[in-house]
Amino acid sequence: MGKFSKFSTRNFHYFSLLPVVITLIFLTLFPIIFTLFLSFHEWSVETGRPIFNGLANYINMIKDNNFWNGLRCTFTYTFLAVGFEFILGFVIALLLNQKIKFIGVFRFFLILPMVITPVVIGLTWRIMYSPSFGLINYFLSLLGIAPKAFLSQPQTAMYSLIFTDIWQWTPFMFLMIYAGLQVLPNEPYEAAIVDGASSFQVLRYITIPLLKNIIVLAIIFRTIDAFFSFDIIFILTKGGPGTATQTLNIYTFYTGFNWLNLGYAAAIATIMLVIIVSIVFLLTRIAGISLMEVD
Amino acid sequence: MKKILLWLLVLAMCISMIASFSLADEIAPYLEANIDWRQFEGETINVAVVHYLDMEEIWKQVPLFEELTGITVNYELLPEEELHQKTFIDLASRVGRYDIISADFMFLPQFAVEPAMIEPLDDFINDPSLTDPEWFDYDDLMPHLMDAVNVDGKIYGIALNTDTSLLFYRKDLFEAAGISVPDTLEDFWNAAEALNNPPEVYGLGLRGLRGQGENIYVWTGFFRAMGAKFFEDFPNDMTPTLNSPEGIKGTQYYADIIQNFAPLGSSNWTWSEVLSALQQGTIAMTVDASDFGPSIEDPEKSTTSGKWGYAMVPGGDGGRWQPFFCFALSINSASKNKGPAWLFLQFVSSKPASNERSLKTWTTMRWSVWERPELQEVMAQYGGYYNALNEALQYVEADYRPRFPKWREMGDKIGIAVESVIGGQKTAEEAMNEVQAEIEKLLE
Repeated sequence: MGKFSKFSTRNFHYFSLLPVVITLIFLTLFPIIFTLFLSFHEWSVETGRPIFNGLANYINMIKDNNFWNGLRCTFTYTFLAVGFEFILGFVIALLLNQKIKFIGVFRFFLILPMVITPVVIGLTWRIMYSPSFGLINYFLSLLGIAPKAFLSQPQTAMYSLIFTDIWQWTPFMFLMIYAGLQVLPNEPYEAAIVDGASSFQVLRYITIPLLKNIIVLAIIFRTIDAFFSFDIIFILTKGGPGTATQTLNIYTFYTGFNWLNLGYAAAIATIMLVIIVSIVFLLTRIAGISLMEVD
Repeated sequence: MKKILLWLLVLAMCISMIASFSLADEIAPYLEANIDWRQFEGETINVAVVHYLDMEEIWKQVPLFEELTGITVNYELLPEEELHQKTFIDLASRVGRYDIISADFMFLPQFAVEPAMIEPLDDFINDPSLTDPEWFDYDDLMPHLMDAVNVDGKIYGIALNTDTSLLFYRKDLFEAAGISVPDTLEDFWNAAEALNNPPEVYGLGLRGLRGQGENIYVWTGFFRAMGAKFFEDFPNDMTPTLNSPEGIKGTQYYADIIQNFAPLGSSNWTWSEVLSALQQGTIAMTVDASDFGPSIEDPEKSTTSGKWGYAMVPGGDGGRWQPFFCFALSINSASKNKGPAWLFLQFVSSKPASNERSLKTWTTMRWSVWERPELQEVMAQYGGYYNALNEALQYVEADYRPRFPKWREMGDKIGIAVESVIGGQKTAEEAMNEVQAEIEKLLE
């Protein structure tokens, strides 16, 4: 046996990981490093190529009203959407975890919004919210309420977007939590019933602690997703009216793709990455679980 | 059975012969050009263009071009946003996946900043082996369209359409109300007020959604008619003057007229909402793209066909500003097939090709086609459309919105400001002061 083949036999497990590692480097690590690299450069229409400008992009960002407005919109959107999705998803999962007839039918219809293309959802809701021929205003008119331009009023535009997001993604929360509920062991419940625990106590002291990891995971997934939400916002309002729904992701898109300030866009993207990583870290800390843990 | 098969075979042969004859007929006008159309035989070009009536008609002419030149054309029709993303990535990375792209002409200065992402066409136009000057007749192309694709003295594309805006008004409603066609901003306001009768019909509809090519395309006409300017003296003195008293007044006028007389939710309206409101008859008038003509006069698509009158946009103290827009076809500077790509552009913008398309699209880049009796006849069925457009074209100029590399960012930012005034988030004064500061910073 040659030296190399001996080496490769002994380290076979590393070699078999190589394809995955290389793919990951190209797909995730490289773009992230390149974004970081760009964020310290000016690359715009005038420069034509990236020119190093140190921290200028980050300093500009602090002075940029659009950035702070975007941050506020992003947090409002993420917090409200994920919060309501979690509460609704959890309640629906608990309800459907009983012995109910036709449960398969319920599940099917519940999951439907999640599997529709976001663009189609955006267009559908754009029509639904329309003041002149929208379904929502039609029902409001039956109640004697004058039509409202949901997407064109700064006061309602953000909530309309959040509502659409909740409609689309509550099923995801439901599915995750429902799956968690299905695999919970029976013994603790039997013991609790014997001890005479109320159903609220069962929920508070048994179900939630047992589901904790699943809940945190579901919230993390949704938070990341909502934080970077783009298609629905873009189709429904494009960030308007004015800047009322211009989240960071929309602002980054405008900056990078429409206005071609790629360096500045990369800097915003980097900050977004830092924020979302911190949020995920914080969430796992609060829940007392570690994503890095290896069993 | 055999007999039937034989007859079918003969029939098939006849059909294919007729087809080839008719194709040969169609090819004849192109063969008059004194160039070798087949010099790039066997090569392939990739074309990415926007979903637009004229582009769809070009697509129908692709087989003829392939027959004429032996060049294979992969023709991709994409929605505008998607097209821009795909082509921009291709241009910026200089991969050269697309040889020809279509773009809003307002982006050409941005693309032409050195090192240019798109190729100047002057060398192709002046090369006698590639272009027959007499047949192509460069001087026949409309001057404002040639200005539109001209960046610092070089030609960066072929402009396709004569699009400007018109005042579209419902003749029947105007007659019933006994008012005349508005000519000034004041008349326009009064007409909107007189015709506003919701919920059956609103006084007018105008674009509200942000974007240099959405609300700003229409708003600019009002802004400038009020006497306002984008800059002190474009392109020599680039001091922005957005928050001048006239600028604030123009923006206030635009927002007020929408808030008072347009359907609810207009701050979110794009051209497509305006178009469908025209087709459904929910608004009495608008100022919007002249190329709506074929769509609102088509009885299959529109409940209001035959009821429309057309006029130039209203003017004010600052004059009459006819909006201007066109799509340009440009060659990617990273393309490896620039020769065949130019042949395609030449074919598309040639007299016979434009002639054929214009009867369906009512638009062209050539005077000779525009003034043809056949085209006038087609358009004459629709009242004053041809005359209004013809008159409007005299006012059109390429720098309706200032063409310079940072326009897109500037225009979009003004669009956000205007949208926030329409939506009632800010007053015109606040919004214009803020955007003035932003643009000053942008141009530092």
